[in-house]
Amino acid sequence: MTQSPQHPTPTTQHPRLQLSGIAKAFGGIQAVRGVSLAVGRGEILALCGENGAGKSTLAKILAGEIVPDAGTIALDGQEIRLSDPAQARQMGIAVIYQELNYVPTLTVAENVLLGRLPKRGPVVDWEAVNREARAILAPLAPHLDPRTIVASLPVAERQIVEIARALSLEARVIVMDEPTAALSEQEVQRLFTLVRRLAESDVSIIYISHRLDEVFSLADRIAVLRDGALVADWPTAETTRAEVVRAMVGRSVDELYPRRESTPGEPLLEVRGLGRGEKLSDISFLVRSGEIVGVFGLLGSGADLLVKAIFGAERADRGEVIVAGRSLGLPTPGRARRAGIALVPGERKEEGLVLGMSVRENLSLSTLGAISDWGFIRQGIERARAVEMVRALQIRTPGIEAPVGRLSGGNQQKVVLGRWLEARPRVFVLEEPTRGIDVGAKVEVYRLMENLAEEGAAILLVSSELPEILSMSDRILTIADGRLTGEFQRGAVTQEEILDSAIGGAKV
Amino acid sequence: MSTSDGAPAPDIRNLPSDITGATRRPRLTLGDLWDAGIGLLVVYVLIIIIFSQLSPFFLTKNNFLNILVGVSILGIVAATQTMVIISRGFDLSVGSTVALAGVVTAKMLTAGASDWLSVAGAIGVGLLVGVINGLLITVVRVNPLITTLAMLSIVRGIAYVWTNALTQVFPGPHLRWLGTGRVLWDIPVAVLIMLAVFVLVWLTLRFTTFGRALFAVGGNSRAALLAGIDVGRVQLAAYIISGLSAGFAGAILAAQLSAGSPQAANGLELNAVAAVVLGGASLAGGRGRVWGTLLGALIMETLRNGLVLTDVSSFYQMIAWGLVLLLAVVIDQLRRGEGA
Ligand SMILES: Nc1ncnc2c1ncn2[C@@H]1O[C@H](COP(=O)(O)OP(=O)(O)OP(=O)(O)O)[C@@H](O)[C@H]1O
Ligand SMILES: [Mg+2]
Repeated sequence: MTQSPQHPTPTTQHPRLQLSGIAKAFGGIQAVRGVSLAVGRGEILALCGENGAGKSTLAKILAGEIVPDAGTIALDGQEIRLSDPAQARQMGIAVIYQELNYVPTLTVAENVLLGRLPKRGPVVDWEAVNREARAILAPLAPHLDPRTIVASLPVAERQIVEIARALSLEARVIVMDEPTAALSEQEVQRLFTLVRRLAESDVSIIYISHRLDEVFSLADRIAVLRDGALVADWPTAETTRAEVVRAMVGRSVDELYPRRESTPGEPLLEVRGLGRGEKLSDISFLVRSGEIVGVFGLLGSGADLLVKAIFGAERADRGEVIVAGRSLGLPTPGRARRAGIALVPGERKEEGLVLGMSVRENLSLSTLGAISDWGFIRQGIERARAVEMVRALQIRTPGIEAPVGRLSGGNQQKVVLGRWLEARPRVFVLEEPTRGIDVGAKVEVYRLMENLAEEGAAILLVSSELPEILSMSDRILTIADGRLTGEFQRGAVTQEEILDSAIGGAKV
Repeated sequence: MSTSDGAPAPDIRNLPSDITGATRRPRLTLGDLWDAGIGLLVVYVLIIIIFSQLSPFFLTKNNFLNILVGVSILGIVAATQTMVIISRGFDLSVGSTVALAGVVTAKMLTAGASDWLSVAGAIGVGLLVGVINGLLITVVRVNPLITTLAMLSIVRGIAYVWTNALTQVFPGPHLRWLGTGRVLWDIPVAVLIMLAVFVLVWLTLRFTTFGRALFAVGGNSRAALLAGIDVGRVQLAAYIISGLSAGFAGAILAAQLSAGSPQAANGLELNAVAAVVLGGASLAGGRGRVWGTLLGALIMETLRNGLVLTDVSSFYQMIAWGLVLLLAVVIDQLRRGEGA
């Protein structure tokens, strides 16, 4: 089933980082089993694996946040003990977490320089703070004002703040746990330039990602975790995508995107003149039954605002949304749900999940009406449905009663998705539905989207992953600066054209 | 063990619907026991043991009925306060509402209204306060703490102005059944009503969609909104329910005193919030147990009762009360610090 792990061959006498026999269990779950792994100086090692394979756990062990049950860690040939995050940082290990942890009420500059604000005597030197932060941010996001409050930024920029902080710590080892999950193409490229430059100056990088394109273009070596164990470790040049995928999921995934013939039916979702101030100017379009329409826009283009406004989660101030011929006016979430619109939001922790609730309770949140009599929830049905959804989406969880916060990132995403599949709506608005999901599960999500469309649903797909947009959509709309700037048919357009159109309308 | 393990995903449409083996009970920890309210129960039993050693009158049926009657008003408003706090709200206006509702009851009875009508009047006052609280918080979006604090002052002020700060005594036999009436096994009516309220709140929280929505709204209101839950309506309903119960409690208190007093139930709102927190609810929302609240209220009333019986001055009572509250909150904090 799995391949025999190749034992790591250090590239130099002393690898920068050497993990030996690292193991960690949570209750009954063995999250990491005896992982031995070496990373050389200036080497970029990609770490791949299914959702719940143990990647983030390994990252947290290196961050000093989780103490392993067994195993040793050596840095530059010297064995170290990491018992808290401050220690790891002192040792020169910086970690960018999958679940962001910034201080939302502070400014960008304060977050970037958290814990090391430049001072003049006892007082913080605010000018220096902003100057230094600007310098640190420059290669990644030159336009970002260091004085902005982080809470007011979109996720992508919050992520950039996190990345910038870690990269500026002058670390010997940087661990990045899905750093690009929320980033768009442009920012990804900037990040890669920076990461390569760091590697050239001898910093070692562990790069965790589900995006194999990125992994292959960036990494020197690729290691694969499966069920907590290291099952493969190759130099990038000596392996292929298919081989990596097989090592990850234990079977081959031939076709990532299903081939589909679509026969659009009657209009299901119509957006007419939807606008909000300057940010969204009078957007109109139509999605038919059986159709998947992709929406692509760069950061700040208004794509996220548009989808939220369709569901009523963000206020629009003019226009209307029409579902199957019936106008909702300016929708509210409750009305949108009852009219048959589903919204899978992009930020699972802030917008998708109630972390204090169980997997079951999170799964049924949008279907409470359908599984209740006279306001009383039918517990048996609720449980049965949760179990089915856990199976169907292969959500890796100790059980449906587990707190959803204990699941790995990708499995949490599946819960958000599963909630709406239960509701069987007519219109799906999917915002980054595969963010953080592994290849195997991705294929399932795509197949699911296809099935839903075949059954007559209308799907609006917003994604920052161009290949996903290109392969899944029947039609693609590009949006820039709050305006629709282009409409393309499936197959008749290239990645470049879409990017051009998405940049085209933007104020630069 | 795990539900996936690499097998290809079955099509979502034709799945077996058996649910065996999908759940697994995790090991019980001390934290879980505290969560289940065991810790609070132990504290309560300890209090009972201590006082029964200190006073021969403490452990008697009559004294326990006293405690239960004494806790009934607090219990009724604390039960519904639990719902408000779970939804990440606050209702500080309940004490004043109880007072105003009591005054209304007395005034209506004096003016010749029937028992039922005057109780309905009291509940009507509660409804009105709840609606105003709810609309200000959900529509105008004023902070719940400020809103209900303002209402605390306004409602109490109205009660004073209307009565010239005089207690309104109403004629004898009215509402006696509600105030001092006893039914099966001698249980006071007020106590039965309180227990009924607790059962209702428990059923709501445990089994209904509204209860689930309260937890979701309190746990993450943004996620609840994006799941299509009408967050505003859920919050509004919570304040209305809290107002209604305060109005009803006002009528009961008036019945117990045979009078409506504008200074009645002073500070009741803080005791209610304390009982809820003592019972294990989180002021950050999304967490709370109504039976914990009952236990919290009982602990507070029993402590008061016991300290009175053992002749401890009321100043010490205040200190003891504060210590118990701190203890509960500290234990809760420690438990959460474990990273559960
Ligand atoms: N604090 C925790 N308590 C209990 N179980 C946990 C905890 N953290 C992680 N786990 C479990 O450990 C396993 C590995 O989780 P981890 O987050 O390392 O996965 P991952 O490889 O990062 O997955 P993803 O790609 O979805 O982010 C999962 O089964 C997860 O449910
Ligand atoms: Mg992870």
